[in-house]
Amino acid sequence: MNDLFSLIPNSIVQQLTIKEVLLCNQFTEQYGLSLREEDATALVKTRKDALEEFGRLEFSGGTISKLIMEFCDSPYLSQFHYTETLSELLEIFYYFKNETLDELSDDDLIAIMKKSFNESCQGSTELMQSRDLENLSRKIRFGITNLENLSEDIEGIFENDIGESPDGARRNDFDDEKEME
Amino acid sequence: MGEIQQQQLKPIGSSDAIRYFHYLIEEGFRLSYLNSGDLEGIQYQLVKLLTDRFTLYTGGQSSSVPVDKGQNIQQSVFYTIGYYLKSLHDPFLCFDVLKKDTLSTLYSSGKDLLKDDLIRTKELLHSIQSSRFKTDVLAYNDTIGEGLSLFFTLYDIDFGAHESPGSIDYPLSNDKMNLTGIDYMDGYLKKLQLENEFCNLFPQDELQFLMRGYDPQYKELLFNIFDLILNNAIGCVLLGREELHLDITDYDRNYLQKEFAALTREETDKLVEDALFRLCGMLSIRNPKLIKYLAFSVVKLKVRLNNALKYESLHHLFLSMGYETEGTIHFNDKQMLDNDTFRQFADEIRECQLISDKLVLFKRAPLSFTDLIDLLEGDCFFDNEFFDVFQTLEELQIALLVKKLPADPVDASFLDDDSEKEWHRCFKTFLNRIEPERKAAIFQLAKQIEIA
Repeated sequence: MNDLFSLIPNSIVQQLTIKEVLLCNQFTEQYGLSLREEDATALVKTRKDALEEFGRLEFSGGTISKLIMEFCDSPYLSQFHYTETLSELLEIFYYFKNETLDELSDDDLIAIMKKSFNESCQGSTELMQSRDLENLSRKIRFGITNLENLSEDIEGIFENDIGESPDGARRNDFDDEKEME
Repeated sequence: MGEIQQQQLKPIGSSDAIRYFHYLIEEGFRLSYLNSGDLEGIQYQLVKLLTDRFTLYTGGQSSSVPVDKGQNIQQSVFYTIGYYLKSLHDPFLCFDVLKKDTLSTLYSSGKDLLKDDLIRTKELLHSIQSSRFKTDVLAYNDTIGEGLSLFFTLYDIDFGAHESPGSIDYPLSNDKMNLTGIDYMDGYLKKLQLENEFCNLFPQDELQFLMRGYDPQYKELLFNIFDLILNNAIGCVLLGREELHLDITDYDRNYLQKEFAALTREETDKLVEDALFRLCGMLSIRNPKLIKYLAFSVVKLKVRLNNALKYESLHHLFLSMGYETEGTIHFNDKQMLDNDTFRQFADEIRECQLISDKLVLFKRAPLSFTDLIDLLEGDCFFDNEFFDVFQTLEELQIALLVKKLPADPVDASFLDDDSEKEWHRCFKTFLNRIEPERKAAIFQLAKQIEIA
């Protein structure tokens, strides 16, 4: 089937998403943030690439809009790199949606991202991705329900949360050795 | 104008609901029944509908889903809409509906229709289960008994309407498998019902002898029973028999070969068609659907008959009955031990240090043949211990074990396989060690045994 008869052509999905994304400007302008149509188009392109790369499907502009509405009051966001940061956040979101095994809802994941971005990472998407969100996905894969203190060292996470894990056992061994000394 | 347009419509035949939906959009646009505005409207509505379905699937938790799940939901939506449109039986009416109604309405109508058809199809299965013929073919019994019921347990109208879950092993005479979902199940059951109706016209023992003639191990094979019967029944009519006795002997086949060899393909085809007509009369078949199904199935027979005549291999097509030989032994296994008792017994054997102790326990227990196999495969015996176990068995039990070996039981040259079970390997060695007369007697016994 050629593209003309494709029942869900990319152009329509993009068009609808761009429209939805631009609607967010009405809310974000109070924080001095807005997207031009070409910015929205670039974001939608990033989303398309990210969805393909991470093997996901989405038809609405839900995720981009949610990210915009949640992050727009961040002190680390400025109009100067607004689109660029949103692009990075979008890629990070889809990557960790998979890495957290779809266990977290969109809203929960975005809330955790925002907390890390604004607090422990002070506006660094790179630190948020490589430390906090990696810790988050590890915790989820190990079935740990306490998702606080994501900025701690990985070893620390396991010490506090799972006493019976192999790491916990190693810790106890180490304590015994110290006592012997 | 309608007729001219209808002539221009590409034929689609029996098609899957998803394909039908695509076909309508393509053809509607090509024939200008749908303009670009209509097409765009449909596309927008589909995006909206899919977004809603994703939200429902994730319980409103996520806007995106993994691609495999997403594609499944997408196919399910296409299928449901296509299923409704197919039920209208008129592509031109479908074009009107696509222009007037929203896709969301069509989706809801499709879902309602699927629900109704699911109930109807389930009733059809129940009627087939009560009218099935008695046979010991495993694929037939398993499919009708459990495999088909599984479809109704697993079928997901919301997110997997296009899927055909279940375990359907029994092959039909005509099963193109180009349909999916409830469409496939409905078609399968309707055809199966017709095949059963035909098979029920013959005495059950004749069917069993015919299947044994097809292959002594027929119980475990995947083949269509209806085809075997139809072929032989047509063969009998071609022989000019007044009574429908399904056996066809070497003499009969030679006669047919001589009579038909000189005929052209068209003449042979005509004779087969006439034979089918006479067969329907002899069996008083009045059901027009069954007559149509038989006529469809006979097409395959015509091709096979012409080839068989050409290569003088009618024995593959018209079978001789495999009557029971006088010494056939019907083996009915006794009641298996219940799980707890068996587990306890197996544990006791494993705990024994000496094989002599194991054998004392082994001989004392009221084991069924299935229990014996489970025990051999349950890490209860090792290496040479197997030989001691085999020594204690009676000839009948040894013959039964021979039948359980994966290779042809009457062929002593078993294939070696890395993954074969330990008892298989030891049992083969055991068989090779016993004296040739006893071994021959055991294999003869194995041939005679019929496990019920």
